[in-house]
Amino acid sequence: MELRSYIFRRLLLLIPVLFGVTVFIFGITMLFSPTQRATLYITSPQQMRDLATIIARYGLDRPFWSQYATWIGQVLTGNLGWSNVVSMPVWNAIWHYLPATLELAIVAAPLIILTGIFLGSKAAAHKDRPLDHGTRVIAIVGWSLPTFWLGLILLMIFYGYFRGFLPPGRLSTQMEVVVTSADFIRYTRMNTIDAILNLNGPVLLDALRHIILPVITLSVVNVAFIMRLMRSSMLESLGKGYILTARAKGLSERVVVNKHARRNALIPVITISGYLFAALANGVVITETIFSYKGIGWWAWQSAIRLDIASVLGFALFNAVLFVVVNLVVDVLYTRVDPRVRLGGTVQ
Amino acid sequence: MKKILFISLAMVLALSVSLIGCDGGGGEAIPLHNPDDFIQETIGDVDSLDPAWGYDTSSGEQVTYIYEPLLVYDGESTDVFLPALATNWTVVNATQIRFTIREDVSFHEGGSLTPEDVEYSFERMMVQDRGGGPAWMINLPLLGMYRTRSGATIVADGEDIDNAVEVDGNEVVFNFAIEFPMIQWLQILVQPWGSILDKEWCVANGEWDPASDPLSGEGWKAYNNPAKADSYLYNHANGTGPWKLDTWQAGDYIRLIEHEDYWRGSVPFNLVVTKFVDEYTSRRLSLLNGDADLIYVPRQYIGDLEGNTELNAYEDLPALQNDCIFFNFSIDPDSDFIGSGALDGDGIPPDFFTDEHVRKGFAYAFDYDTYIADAFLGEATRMGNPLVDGLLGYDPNAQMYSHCLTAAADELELAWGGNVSDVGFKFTITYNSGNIERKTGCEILAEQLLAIDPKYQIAIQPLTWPTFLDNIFSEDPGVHKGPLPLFQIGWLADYPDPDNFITPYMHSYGDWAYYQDYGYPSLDTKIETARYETDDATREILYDEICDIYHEDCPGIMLSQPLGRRWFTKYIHGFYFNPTIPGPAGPLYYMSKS
Amino acid sequence: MIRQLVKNPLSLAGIIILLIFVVIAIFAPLIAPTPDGHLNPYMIPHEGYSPIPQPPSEEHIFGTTEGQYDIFYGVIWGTRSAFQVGLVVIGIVVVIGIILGSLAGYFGGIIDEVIMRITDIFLAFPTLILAMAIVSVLGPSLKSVMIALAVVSWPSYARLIRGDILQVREEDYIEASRGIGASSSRVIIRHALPNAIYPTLVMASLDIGAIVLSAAALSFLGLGAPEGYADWGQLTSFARNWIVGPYGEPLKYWYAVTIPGLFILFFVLGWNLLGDAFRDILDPRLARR
Repeated sequence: MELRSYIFRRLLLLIPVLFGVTVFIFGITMLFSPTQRATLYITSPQQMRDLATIIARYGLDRPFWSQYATWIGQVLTGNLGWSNVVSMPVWNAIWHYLPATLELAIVAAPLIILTGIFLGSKAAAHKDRPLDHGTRVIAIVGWSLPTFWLGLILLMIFYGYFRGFLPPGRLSTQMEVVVTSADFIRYTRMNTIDAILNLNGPVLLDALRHIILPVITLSVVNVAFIMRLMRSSMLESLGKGYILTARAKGLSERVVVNKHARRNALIPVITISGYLFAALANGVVITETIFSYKGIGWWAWQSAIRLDIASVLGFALFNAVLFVVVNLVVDVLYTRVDPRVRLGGTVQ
Repeated sequence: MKKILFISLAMVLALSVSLIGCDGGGGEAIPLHNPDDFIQETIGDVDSLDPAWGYDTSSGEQVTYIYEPLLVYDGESTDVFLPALATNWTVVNATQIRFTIREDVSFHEGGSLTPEDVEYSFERMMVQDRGGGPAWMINLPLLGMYRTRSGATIVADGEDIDNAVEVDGNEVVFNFAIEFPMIQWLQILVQPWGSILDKEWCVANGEWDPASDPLSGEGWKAYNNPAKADSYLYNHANGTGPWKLDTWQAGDYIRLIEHEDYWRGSVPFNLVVTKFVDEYTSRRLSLLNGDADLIYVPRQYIGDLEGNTELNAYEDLPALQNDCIFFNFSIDPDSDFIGSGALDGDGIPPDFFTDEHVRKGFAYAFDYDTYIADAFLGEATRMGNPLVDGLLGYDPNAQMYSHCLTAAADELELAWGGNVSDVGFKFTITYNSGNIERKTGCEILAEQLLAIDPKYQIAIQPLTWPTFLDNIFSEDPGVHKGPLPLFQIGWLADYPDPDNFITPYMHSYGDWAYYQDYGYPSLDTKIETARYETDDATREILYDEICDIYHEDCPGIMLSQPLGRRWFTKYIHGFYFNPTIPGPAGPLYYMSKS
Repeated sequence: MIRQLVKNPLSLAGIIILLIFVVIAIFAPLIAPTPDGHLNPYMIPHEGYSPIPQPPSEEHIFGTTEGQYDIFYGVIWGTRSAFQVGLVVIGIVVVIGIILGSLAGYFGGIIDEVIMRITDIFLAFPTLILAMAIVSVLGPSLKSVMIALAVVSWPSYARLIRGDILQVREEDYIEASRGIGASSSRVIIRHALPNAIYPTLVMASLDIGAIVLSAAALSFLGLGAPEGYADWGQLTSFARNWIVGPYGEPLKYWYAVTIPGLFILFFVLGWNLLGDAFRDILDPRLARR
């Protein structure tokens, strides 16, 4: 099947998924009474005396289909609505808060994947020996750690005990001033990258100081997962025919492992990296909240708690699109790495 | 692989070594940074910079830096006024007051202050009248109605709005539609919503234009009740105040810079920066490092900074607010919170609290001292009635219910002909989750009643804020009120007049009393008489009587008024406390840093 | 199989840990007795109302957390909450997964398409946010948490069952049953399901830990068990304001943060150890998942 038409077909799938997601979320929000939804627009209970006006103003008591239709109409003209919790249009909010989350993902993901691959293949190569058992225990413990608790403990030690060594937030006050001043150009709004591009050492150091703990918190659970996966798929490929051939040819164990087994073991890892995205998306909410690292996870949480429907919907759309696209990329990559798989083949 | 690991580990170590000791610590001297700027770190965010829109302290604070009203309070007073944008004023009669407008005052964007600007500012507020906003305080005296709308239709008459504010030479004339106490009007004008805008600038930027959409026509109605972001003044500002808007990064910070042509003269700070930082420990670090001059300290962390000689702390500042546990006299019979719905030991009937013995029993049962000691760490004053310290009519020796379990038991024995003490009761009390003070209040009430008699059982349930409000502000008009048997909520002053506190608590149409189904005609008349009384001495007597009625009727368990603190570095001077000033920084223009 | 589990040191450790928790849960009223007159044993008793946590003492072995809730009582009764949440949610989810997955897998066609699209929709959303939205609507309580987690978790099970049914469907014995005229449901229940059930059990046992973690996360974020409820996540959320102690004593309130978290860690660890061993034993092929 032609690559282009396959991609096109998959992207078409976006429509029912987006429709389903948004109808579902809208449905949930309809379970809230108009009064509850009106509380988003007030800043003190005294303003509730104007409840009727607020409800009328924002159409909070119109029937489901009417509100949904209005919203869809707006979306199709490019207006995702207004995010009350951060006082900017939803579209702007997504792009405003995305860099922080991307930064976390960009720093964390390679760390997770590389560490996971490294430890996993080491464990497979030393199967059933102490190293294998050791890493297995570490993996299971890491997997069992509550992310939020890990974050709190890390803060307690590195922020409390070591007196502000690794603080929450994205930047310290002084660096915040530097970054928003005219001399500093914010290319990507990711502080680490921008600092490098601006050749600004102090900002880079400060940004790193702030990002280390959130990255560690995010990584621990996921490293464990990837590690185990890598190990088992390595084990499988190590038992395959071509490996035996390579060994028979007299190639050193190292070459066998590194060149042949590992490359083939990467296949499921690629798939899993797609699901890593989903894991990060979840983990990021808690991590950003604990460390006051204001990214898209933090924004989504604030919106959910304060019933900012427009924001939640905007986040849902964004997330769904990302999900479908990532799945598509993973599936296409899959075919590139494993020549046995054809496009459009039924994949589990 | 191994090499990469090794190198990265080495880098991490190097990083750590280079960064240890980055904390400012405490007890050490605080350095003087940014001598020309005032930087504060607090929580929350600005809602809107439009003076006619904002109804929260954060917005109000920024508006007081950027804009100015016609008059201001004299220092710490809340009823003596000094001229600001008006040079003087004359009360003509009970429905008219005239203000002479100051000359040679410039706006940030270059315009000059004229009486037309004043007229426009107030007309615009009435035209806009956003739902849930402060315009009702302008609407009521000038138009005789709280809102320009009934439901979604506009019922106000453009002509009436036009006639309410007129320009006469260099004066602005306010014509009231009803007889309104002048002192309250002046107090309303001092607040942020009395700020004066530049008519030409507003019109040029898309705001309502009285020339193209005159009040005699219908066009002005399109500007009524807009969405927040539809107003240009939401995030743009042009006032006459000492600072002008530089940048507002929503959720992060707002920065103001000095207005060089400020009519009063030199401005003490070049920059005024307000940062919104959620983490207390970060704020604390900024303060101790000299990077912030003022921070918000949650009550539980007071011990942290106490005794630090590098800081200027002001304490026991009585805020114009209070909290109270309200009885619902007409509970929704279908409520999930009243158990069986009958006085059978498994619930309470919807009219349970109409018996005053029940109410008084509860009032005697509450442990007020523990409440203040634990929920407020001692930083609150017990109240016996709605009038708080700072208002005319406040009586520090007012009658209050003491915490006395035997008196409580006695009252409950008399309740409902003795049935209450025979069968007991069961119901659920709620609070908005996350609010420690209210949770403590609920727990104290429940546990004290349980201690009197194990048949008096109250369960406690936290609700999310939207659900909590939904349950309070709920009714079947004429039939019953909301489902909550008791709700704990407070009042924050709009302006420092006793009527602003008494009406919500005791008038049949008051914000809280209405949803309790409390209030009756004779009391209403008394409240209205006190409202319009112009002689202070007579007023005090009237409010004395009203407060006695509050104590006798006991429509709620009156709790306390919080006492606030401010934490400045020692370099900030000139702070004084006026409870009407929104925001913690206080009268910033009169302060300095050295 | 039991022997294999016991021989493996890791799974043995898991079993022991879980047994300890089971004992704690069953004997909670003896280990941490509810004071007289206290109405709801799942609401942690508290002495006083002060928001400042108190360190471990004779009376309060693990100290008290914000609001003077006894941490010891909280973690002991929290064990019951944890089991409740884990087992109930997994129970619901497995049942729904089996029903929908079987329908999709066995009948294929339109039914399959529809069910798969629905699971797509659920999976396209970060589970935590969806769970938060549901709890927001239903109000914070353990029941809402269970419902929310069930709603976000069933799709993976439906898919899993479906996949296994698809594999098993082509097996000979299924053909044989159909050949002798057995009805579809009979075929599914008596033949397809039992063979598909093993991987599900593996996943379920691993998932109990994940469910409890999610529930704790929800409580921590304020959308779970109500304040003062004996729930580990709820206890940890109390500690949020107290991570950093006063100047000079930064780790002063360590017990409020560490202890509830350790309970969560070990509980989940127990399930994960067990589930991991399950997996290795039941089907080495499954190690790939």
